[in-house]
Amino acid sequence: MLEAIRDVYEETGRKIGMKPAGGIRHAKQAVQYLVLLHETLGVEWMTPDLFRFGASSLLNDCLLQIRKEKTGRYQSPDYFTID
Amino acid sequence: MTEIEKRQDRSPVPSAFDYAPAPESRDVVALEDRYGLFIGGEWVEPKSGDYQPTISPATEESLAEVAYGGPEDVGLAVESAREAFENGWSDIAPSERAKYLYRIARILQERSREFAVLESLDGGKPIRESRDVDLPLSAAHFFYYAGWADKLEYAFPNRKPKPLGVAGQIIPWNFPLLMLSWKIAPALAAGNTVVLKPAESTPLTALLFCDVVRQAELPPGVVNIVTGDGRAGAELVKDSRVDKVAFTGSTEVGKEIQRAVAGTGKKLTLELGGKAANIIFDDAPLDQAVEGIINGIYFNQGHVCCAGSRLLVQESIYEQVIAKLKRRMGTLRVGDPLDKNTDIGAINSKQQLEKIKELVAAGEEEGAEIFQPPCRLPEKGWWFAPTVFTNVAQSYRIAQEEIFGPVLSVLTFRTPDEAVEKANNTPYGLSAGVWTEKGSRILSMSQRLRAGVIWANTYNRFDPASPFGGYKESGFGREGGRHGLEPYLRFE
Amino acid sequence: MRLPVKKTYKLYVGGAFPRSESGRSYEAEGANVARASRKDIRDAVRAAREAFPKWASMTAYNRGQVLYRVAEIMEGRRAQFVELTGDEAEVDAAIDSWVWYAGWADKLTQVLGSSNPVAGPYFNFTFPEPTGVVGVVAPEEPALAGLVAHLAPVIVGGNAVVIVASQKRPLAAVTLSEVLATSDVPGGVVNVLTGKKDELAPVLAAHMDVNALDLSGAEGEWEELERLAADNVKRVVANGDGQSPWHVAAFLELKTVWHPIGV
Repeated sequence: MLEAIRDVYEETGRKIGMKPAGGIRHAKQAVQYLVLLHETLGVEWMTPDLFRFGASSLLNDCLLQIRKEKTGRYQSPDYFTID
Repeated sequence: MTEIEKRQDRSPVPSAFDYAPAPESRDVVALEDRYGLFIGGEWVEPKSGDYQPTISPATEESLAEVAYGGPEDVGLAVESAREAFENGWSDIAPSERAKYLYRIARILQERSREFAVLESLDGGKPIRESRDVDLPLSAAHFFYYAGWADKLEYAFPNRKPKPLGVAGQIIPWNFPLLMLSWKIAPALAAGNTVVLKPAESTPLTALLFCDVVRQAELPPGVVNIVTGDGRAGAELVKDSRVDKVAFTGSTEVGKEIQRAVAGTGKKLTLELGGKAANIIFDDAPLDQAVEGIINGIYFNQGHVCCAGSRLLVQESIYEQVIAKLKRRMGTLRVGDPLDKNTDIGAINSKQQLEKIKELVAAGEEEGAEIFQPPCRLPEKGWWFAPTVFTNVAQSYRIAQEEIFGPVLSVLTFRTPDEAVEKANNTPYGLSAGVWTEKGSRILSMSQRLRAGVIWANTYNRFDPASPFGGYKESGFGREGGRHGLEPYLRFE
Repeated sequence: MRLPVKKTYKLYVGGAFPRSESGRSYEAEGANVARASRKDIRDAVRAAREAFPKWASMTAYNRGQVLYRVAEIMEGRRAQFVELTGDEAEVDAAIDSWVWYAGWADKLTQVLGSSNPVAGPYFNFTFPEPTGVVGVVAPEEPALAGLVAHLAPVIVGGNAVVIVASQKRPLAAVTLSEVLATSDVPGGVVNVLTGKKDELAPVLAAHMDVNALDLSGAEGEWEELERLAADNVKRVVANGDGQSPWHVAAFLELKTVWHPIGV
């Protein structure tokens, strides 16, 4: 998909955004997507105007990771509300 | 107009997206200061008294001192292998022989990370490759051949297969542990004993392998390792008590070996150089094909006998492919082999680097156009940026000679016939790649390309079940598969 | 008393019967036999290389039929061969050998090839292909059956061949060439040269456009010939005299093909 977006941009100059849907629950997966995005389309696409994740469980995992980095301890989802 | 295009205020774009270094720890490996030779199940000092340092190509540091075996040492190793063959190894029940090989396979899996790190340290290849390709394949090779050890009569029905005796094996520096597995596994499965001489610049994983041999409780003398340079290899080839010689390396040395065993009745297999054509047709999925090109020539720094070092691209898609290729080359990372982000590691030795530079200079002189993405190369160590030459004629040295580095030469063609003609117009014949969506064209190209391995819509795939070897000056004999057993057996 | 018309024994190259370009001959078995030169070897290898692609691309079934036809024609001339060799059993064995090898043509791929179960989503198969042009130094004895034992296995797999025949007893080889010429064997697939072995064998061994060598008939000069063979990495073989598909396999290359499996 990202390659197709690249092809369209090269042929027409139009920038099309992308929102991967479904199955992205963990921050690690999100990072892999960002790397894929960076390697294929470059830094220009790394803005919410052109690339978004839509996943609330991902948000919670990001919070878990942030707190882990700050405290050095692995976290439990119980401490982060799902709403 | 989409919502995105209507918006006036755009969110800021990051100025850069850098990756943090991801070094694999060296702690998993314990290096000795000095290694002897492994003969008769023991570590012995070389009679030659000669020790030389083995250098890390990424840092130029000396990793350890390694023995350089002389003629007497080689003789002792062969004697030990002979002794082991005659007194025990050939009599052991084949199903027991199999179990030793299974043990070795499992131990390699258990110590996989240790070996992978050591391989990258000693040879310069990225840890991602040694961890994800070299080690799993090495273990798989032992596992595969273990299964054949007690089934030889089914592999060669009605031929009464028997081992040859002592195999003298000489391996190269580009896949040190993997080449060791390709040699030792089938030889032992067939009931032979071996004396193996690792490449001069990459002895360490072979030496660590001796510890696996110890852990597997392999009977002494079944595997003997004599480190050293080309002279030790020549002694091994000459020894009259060696029944079979197996060599992987340059075509030049392969021919010398073939001359050296002339008239001796020794069985010989050679796996030599290549200058493979990677052929892209206009109906190929271009992004995938470009990945295939990249993998074909930049995997393992291009230090691959079957590397797709000639890109043959159909004229109609030439501009597109070159543009995508150059862009993709810009995302390749050259650097510390132990960093998990690294795509292209160090060049294995100073000599190899000089050879690559010489051929690249020849390419420029002959009139080809060179492209290298901007690349910050480390100060110490031996490095070469990924390179592509366009405007290449069939007769240029860079289109005919094996460079054995991350250098691709691009030629064009119009018709399938022309592609086949150009691809086959070489004394080599090891491998080739074909990229097209049309099935009948894949099979037709596969038939017409004179090469021992054809990768269609893929490249650089290896498996212990898949026979590998060349046509013409790329050598003879096959390694892998049922066919890989044959060079190590004699038949009534 | 009628004077018999004696045969001139010539070379068999490119489907025709030329004399040696050197114009020489030597005496063997009471006749003057063409004495080939290194230029004849050159021409023979060229003829073999030209004939190879077509012979190799014939279907295996077709090649099998051609070899069977050789047996048919040879059977028709059985009496002539018995007179030449003085050995009925040898002639019968030679004819039956053609029949035996004819049956192998379309079986080699199944016995020598394989589909390989690689550890990934790829279709992977290995199959044999002819190596190209093979040089054969035929055994001195038995002159006919020995020749067939080293000829049939080379060509059944699709190779073209240049043969240096028995030096002392060359007539059977020349007569066999007449059979080949009338048996649908395409010209150039088999080339038979008579002459002095120690003059011809080294030229064949050193020829850069010969892919493999059968040195069974090269008594005692092996080392030098094998050394010459190394210059273009020829496959060097000594085949036995019995019948075996492994004699065929010695002149075949194995090719492995990979393709990803996916939608």
